[in-house]
Amino acid sequence: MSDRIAGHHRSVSLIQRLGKDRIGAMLLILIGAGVAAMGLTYRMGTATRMGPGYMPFFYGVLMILVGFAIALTARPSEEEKRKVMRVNWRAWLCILGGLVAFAIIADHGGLVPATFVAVFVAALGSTANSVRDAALLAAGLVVAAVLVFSYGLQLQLPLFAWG
Amino acid sequence: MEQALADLWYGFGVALQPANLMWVVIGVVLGNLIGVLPGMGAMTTISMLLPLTYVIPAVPAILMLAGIFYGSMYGGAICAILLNLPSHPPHAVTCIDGYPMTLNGRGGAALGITMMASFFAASVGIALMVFVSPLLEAVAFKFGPTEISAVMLLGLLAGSTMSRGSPLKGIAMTLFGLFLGAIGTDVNTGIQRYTFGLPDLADGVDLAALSLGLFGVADFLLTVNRGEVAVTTTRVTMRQMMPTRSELKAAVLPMLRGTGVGAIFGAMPGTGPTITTFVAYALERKIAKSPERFGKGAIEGVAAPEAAAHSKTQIDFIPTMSLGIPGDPVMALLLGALIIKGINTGPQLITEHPDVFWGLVASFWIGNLLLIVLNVPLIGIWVRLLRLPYRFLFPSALFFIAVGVYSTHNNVFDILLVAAFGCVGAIFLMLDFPAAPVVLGFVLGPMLEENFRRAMVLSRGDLMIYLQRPLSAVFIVASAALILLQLYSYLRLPPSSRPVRASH
Repeated sequence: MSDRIAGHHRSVSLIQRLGKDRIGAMLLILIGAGVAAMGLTYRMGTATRMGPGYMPFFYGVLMILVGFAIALTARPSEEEKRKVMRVNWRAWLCILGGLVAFAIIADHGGLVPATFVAVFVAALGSTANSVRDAALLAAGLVVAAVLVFSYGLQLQLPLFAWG
Repeated sequence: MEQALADLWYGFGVALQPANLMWVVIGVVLGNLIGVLPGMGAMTTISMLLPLTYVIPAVPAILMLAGIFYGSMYGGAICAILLNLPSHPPHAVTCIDGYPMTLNGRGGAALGITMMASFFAASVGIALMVFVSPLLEAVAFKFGPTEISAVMLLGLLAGSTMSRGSPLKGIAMTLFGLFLGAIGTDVNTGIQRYTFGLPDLADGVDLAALSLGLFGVADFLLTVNRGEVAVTTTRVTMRQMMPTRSELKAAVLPMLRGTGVGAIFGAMPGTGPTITTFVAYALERKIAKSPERFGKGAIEGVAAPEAAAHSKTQIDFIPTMSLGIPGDPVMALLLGALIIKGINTGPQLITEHPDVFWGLVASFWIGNLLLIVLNVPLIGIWVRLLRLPYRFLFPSALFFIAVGVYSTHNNVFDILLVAAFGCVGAIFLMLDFPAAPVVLGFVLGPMLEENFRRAMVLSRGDLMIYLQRPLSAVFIVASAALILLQLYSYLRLPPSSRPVRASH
């Protein structure tokens, strides 16, 4: 039964068949390999006189080993195989987008536009928020930003900036 | 002993200086204010307020952080009891009986008992600290780089394997944290490691940016649109917070037992407060005359775990401050804040910075007292805050995170770092990998590396030095025992009953 279901959704079935543990382990092995490889590019030194690459290299190697240990001991349950890992794309896009927007606009437009755009975009990440609600919330936080952070805490960020 | 009492007296002097006291008050109020908001756990609250402490001197900064910690713990308890929503994992147990009490109209009494339990347990914890710290001071001078790195190994292993969830995953995330700690300029050679040519990474990853990404943004990414969080219509007045005489009587012994459980677990570094609260709760249910009341609003079920959590965290400060090994990620954050302030944590801390150590001990007590003084009149406001819907809460929190992180270096780079770590954290959490050990590894990593390198210079690269020096041999043997214990329990338990769920 579960095979038939998996067959219908071939695109997700590989991920589900692997299970969370093995995917995590693979991710870990990849990171570990990167860390160890970059560690080798810094001077290793000897155990007595360790270079900057010595310890990070071993962190990377250990990550690879632990990754393999997790992958080998992983026993994905039947229940987990059927559970679809859904990424909430709208929330991810809006929340991360809001942060990036704040970072970019703060440098080129100042605190007021950065706050408004960041909060507005982030708020739209929730399906419960209408455009009007998001705009009202953003406007409210702009007021808070100006009063609390700019005047109150003397934040070193101009309210408006050009360029 | 007398010396310790005199030191404690001195600590009260430090903590009661008007300027320092003011920061404690601000910390408690802000911590409580943010901690009460649904979904804002102690980790998120502390990391959000961490940038505030960058601008003030070390002693008030750490006092304020302790205040934030206490405030957020209590705020979290309010949220857990009135909304059935544990933002901080240890409060999961408080919900079991706290929320039914709210439904029975005794939510106020549950909050009152929580406050008393926390104050009582913290007082006991402080008394224990006064006894224990002179002993630690006595062994402190025996700690060289070998001993320090050995005890750190033990701390890292304990912290990553003894919390809930798979020990291997805990170790994996600790290693990831160790790597993140290595980013930046190498102290010994001045070479930049893993900076990818970015000058903003030369000073390393910012602690606040890391923890806000892992515990704030990652949490938003996984929570938004997962069903709107419940909203309470409960009203709690000052009068309702006073438990009745019979409630008080029923809570006294559980409070004592909970404090005892917390003290025992506090002596074992690495055991998280969550396990402690579960054990305290299980104990109460086991010895209760009518265990069927549990889960339906038994006041013992609130008093014991809350007391356990508080005495445990209080005692956790001993290894955190004296050995430099934090008992849980919250302690790791506080330790990280001290390091940012340029204070050398480790065995010498108590002698080198008595103002920090004893001021902190005294401020715990003052902070707890402040919580009682503040929460009785302010409870109405906190309850109203609980009605703030999540769809407004998370964009606002995101804005505070962005501004807070920006203000630390007046630089937008750290905001991008928050976004990146939020993304990484959410992916790992989705895969049931815990995020908390990352902070542990990140904070201890640079110290571990520095001391290990020094130890190896002293021994001319001979690892056997770790077994030749008696104190470090003890730590190494304990670490080995930990690993063997994990292997044993892995081989003994059938696969189905192995813990697979990760904890935050």
